[in-house]
Amino acid sequence: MKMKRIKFYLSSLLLLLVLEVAPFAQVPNDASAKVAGRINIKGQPAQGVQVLLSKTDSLDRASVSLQSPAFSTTTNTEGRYQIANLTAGAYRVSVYAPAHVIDGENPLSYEYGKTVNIAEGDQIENLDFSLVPGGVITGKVTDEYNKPVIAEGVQAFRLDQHGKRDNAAAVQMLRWQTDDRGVYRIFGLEPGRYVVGVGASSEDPLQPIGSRGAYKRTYHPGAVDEADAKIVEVQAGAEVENVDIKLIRSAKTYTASGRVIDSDTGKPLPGVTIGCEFALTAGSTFRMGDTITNSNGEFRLKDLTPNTYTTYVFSPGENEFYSDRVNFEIANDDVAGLEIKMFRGATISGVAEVEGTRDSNILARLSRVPLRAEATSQDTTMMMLQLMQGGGMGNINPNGTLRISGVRPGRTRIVVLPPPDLKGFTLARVERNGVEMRDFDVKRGEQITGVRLVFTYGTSILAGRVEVKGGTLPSNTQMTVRLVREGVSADDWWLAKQANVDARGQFAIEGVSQGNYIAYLMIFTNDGGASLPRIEQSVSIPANMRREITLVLDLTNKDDE
Amino acid sequence: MKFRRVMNAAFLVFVFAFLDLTVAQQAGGVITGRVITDEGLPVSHARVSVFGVRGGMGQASVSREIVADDDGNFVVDGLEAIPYLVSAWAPGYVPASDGGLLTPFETSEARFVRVGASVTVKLIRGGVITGRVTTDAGEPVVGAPVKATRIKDETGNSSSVNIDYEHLWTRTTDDRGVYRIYGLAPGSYIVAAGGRDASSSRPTPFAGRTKTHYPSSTRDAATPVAVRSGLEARDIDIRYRGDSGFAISGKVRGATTPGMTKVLLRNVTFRETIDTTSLQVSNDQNTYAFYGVPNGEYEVIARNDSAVGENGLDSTPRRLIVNGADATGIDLVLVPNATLSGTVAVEKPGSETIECKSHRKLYPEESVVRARRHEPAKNRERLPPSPLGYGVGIPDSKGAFTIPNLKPGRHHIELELPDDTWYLKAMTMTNSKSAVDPRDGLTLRSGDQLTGLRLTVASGAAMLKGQITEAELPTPLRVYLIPFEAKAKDNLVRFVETTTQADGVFTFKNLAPGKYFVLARAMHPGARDSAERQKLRKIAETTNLTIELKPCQQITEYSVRMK
Repeated sequence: MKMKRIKFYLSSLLLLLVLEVAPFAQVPNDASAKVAGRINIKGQPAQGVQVLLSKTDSLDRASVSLQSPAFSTTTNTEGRYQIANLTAGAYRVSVYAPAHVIDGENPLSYEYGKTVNIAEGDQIENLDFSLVPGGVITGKVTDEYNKPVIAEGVQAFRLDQHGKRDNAAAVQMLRWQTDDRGVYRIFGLEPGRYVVGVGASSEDPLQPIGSRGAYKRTYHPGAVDEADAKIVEVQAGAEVENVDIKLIRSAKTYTASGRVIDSDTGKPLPGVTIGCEFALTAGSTFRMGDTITNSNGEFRLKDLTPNTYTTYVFSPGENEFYSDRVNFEIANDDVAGLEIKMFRGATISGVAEVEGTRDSNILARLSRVPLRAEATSQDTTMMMLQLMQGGGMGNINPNGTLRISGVRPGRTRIVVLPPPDLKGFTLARVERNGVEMRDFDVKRGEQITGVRLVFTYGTSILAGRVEVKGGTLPSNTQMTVRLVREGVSADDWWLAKQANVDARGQFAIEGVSQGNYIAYLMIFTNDGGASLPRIEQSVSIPANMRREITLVLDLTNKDDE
Repeated sequence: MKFRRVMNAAFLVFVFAFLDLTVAQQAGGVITGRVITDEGLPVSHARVSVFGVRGGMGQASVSREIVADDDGNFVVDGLEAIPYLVSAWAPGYVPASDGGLLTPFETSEARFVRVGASVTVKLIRGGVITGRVTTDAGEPVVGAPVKATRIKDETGNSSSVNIDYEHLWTRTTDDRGVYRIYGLAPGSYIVAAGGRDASSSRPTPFAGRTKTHYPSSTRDAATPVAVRSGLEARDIDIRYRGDSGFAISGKVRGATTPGMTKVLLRNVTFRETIDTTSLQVSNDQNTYAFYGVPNGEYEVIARNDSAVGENGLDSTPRRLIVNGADATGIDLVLVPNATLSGTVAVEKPGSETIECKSHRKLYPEESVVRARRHEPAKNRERLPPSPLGYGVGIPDSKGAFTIPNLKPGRHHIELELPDDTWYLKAMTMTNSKSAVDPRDGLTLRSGDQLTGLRLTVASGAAMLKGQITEAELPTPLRVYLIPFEAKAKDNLVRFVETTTQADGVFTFKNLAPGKYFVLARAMHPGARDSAERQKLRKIAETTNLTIELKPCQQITEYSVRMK
């Protein structure tokens, strides 16, 4: 759960840095579809609730600022809403009610609303939402001199049935802050038992390290140890006042210092930005300001509390260089003499082509598909961390040649991330000197040539629905359909196309090229339980066509296992 | 939410801090200072930022951030000898207007300090605007962004904020519809609810609709709110209307280098930047759009922000009127800004060379060359292309400088020297075919890359500090030093002017030795051209107050009586 969220933040960072996201291209079709439903609050029809409808795409969260705003409407006296005159496409319907808890939605998650794949003329009824008024916790944060603590992040951690805190709530520190009087007000809380805390703790993946120094995580009313925190009971729609916190200054913070050198020349590198993170939650934090190397290539990381850290040069994006990573531990003294090396990476060059097409319009667009070289054997978190350390990115030139620079040594594969408006492109295979290769060995500083990336381009659509038999899935289940060519492993996601299954059990994968495929239904639940079987089905896709299939998920099998 | 902002900032740092492989001079300098309130009390644990730029194009910036101690004191060491901007931030405080340092509010000119300096940064308690946002029916509007925009400073002069900091003055309403915006500099504000919420990762019902200004109106009928230091403006309640607005969209072309391009939407009537959007312009990825725009007259400008100290690209502003429909096809073409390059050269030592007692070696990279655009105050550009401010060039160790991001128009050149013993002796164009005298200002057209400006510096500068007494004219006054010798009468390098403080005190530093007329006048546009200088000289000849300044002479108690 925690890891998943970290990955999301990382991927949103990468999208910010790497991808260019175009507004969704509108395909003209008949605007005759409709979606309607009812909103209940505590089981009663609710009037005046804001309902939003936005066009969706698998990457839409990365481009909120470039998207056209959501269409909004409000419910009538019967709690009903209706949005008509819709063209076919994928939409997300959501309720904007920040002071309420929406059933089935985790208020901390970036997943919200219900996705619906609307076909031409669809009349969708009963897309309903149930709301409960959220609870409120409010109070004041003061320091050891009873002065208000301003602009400090406050976190409310919900306790699970075992009385353990749900770390997912750590995200809240980004939202809830004290004002100039030290007052905070957290609203829209799910009913339950909470502990409320302020200040830094290494367990929270998004806590900026040492950003404001000197406060230890302190829980209401003034407990450094979570076990001594006073539990706050929150009921639906009720306000709990005077949840005050008195902060306790940390005993001491420490400094870590070192320098950055060019591994080839041994020369110090001035003006580079140092990233520093808690070692156990890599990808979690980022330091700014004083952590740019000076003219002697030296850096100093201040205000560190005892912990294990990892540090590197922050240089994402296309780059000939990448840095290594240095771990260090702060116990009860400053740390000096850290040395981070920057390496000139290997390069991979060659050509890219689209199978069976010479259409210059299609080839021109290929140059907008970013390329990435990554190690084959590592988890996503480490991969994201490496991207921040620089290198391994590349692109295709308009003339079809390609170059990836700053590549690290080791077993490497090339992956592509087509932006959403280029979903017709799929990487079909990678060749080196005419031989197909899933991945290859890269030696330090090597200049690899003769690589050929073969893409397919298609405009077919695989659409369909998932039929659930013999039971129901938990409300927090997310289903995805992944489509891979025959002979390709379902785990090779970079050679696959996929789409989420919507609230009605429907899905549509666009930009598919002609061929024989296997469609896999993959099921995820919020609590990480992936115990359900993966469903697969062979499917043949014709050119420029829409193909429909039904995937059957039989839950009666589950008990036999 | 905030994370996105942090990452945006991180991205910027990455852009201008990227892999500089040069090794600059020894970094042993120190800047010390203290952060205090206007009452002189220390601001403990203020975050102090020291920001410097190494000279020449594309050189890395130096950015250090430290936390002041319990008494507000700070020491930043290991600094190389280049000009620095020092600023401080503490939650709930704002820079005092006389801080004179880089602040979100003062975008027109940044004041540099050098290593060895002791800096006092003054902060004052910010003001607060608080109120409630409701619907027509009196129901709270929850989760709506509310933004306070300063339109006048505390003296009533028009003000506009650096839009890069606008998130500091945007808050979201809570479950009761209540908002509270703190840390506001004294002045006059307009407050608006709704619009796009840059901090929200989810769509909101506000983004496509127009903002509602306090109390419940469009911008034209907005009621300004007065904010005073440390005080609270209460009950600034807004009845949110949620009127539908229109879209302005188009394409941005002409970016030759990848980088974030910002598109600014400005309200022409009120000369306010009301929205910005960022995009990566490359190939066919270049569409921008603003939504929820009310009827009115607007200007859209695209700006490709380059790294600090580098030249960026701007588009020509495009004007348009929104009147009941979307405005599409408002395409913008980016063109490189004009640049001006040259050298700061130290006069070769000769028989006449004079070194003052306090003589300090001149590092050209510690000086600052400014190009001041000659334009009416009301049209003044308020958004600097970089944190350094408009028209600033910092020389490298050989004296070579480039001033990037210059707008078309006539620019006057000024040289800020790091030490009082040096003065600007001559200003010439070394490669100009025509007889351009740079002392009269240099005219740049869009995209010009003017080179060959030579600023010759000599040692032996004089200093004059004085006071205007018995003035019947309103203060502050403009004080002029006009070269006395007839042959120097049009020598702009020796033609200097300054403004008095409230008590009539004025200071001239880095003066060329020689004889001058001294003249004080009511505030005046200044001796920007030959005709104006002739006029001033004529007046000075009649009042006939003169002073002779010898090399290295420091006159500190010079009294001027005015009738």
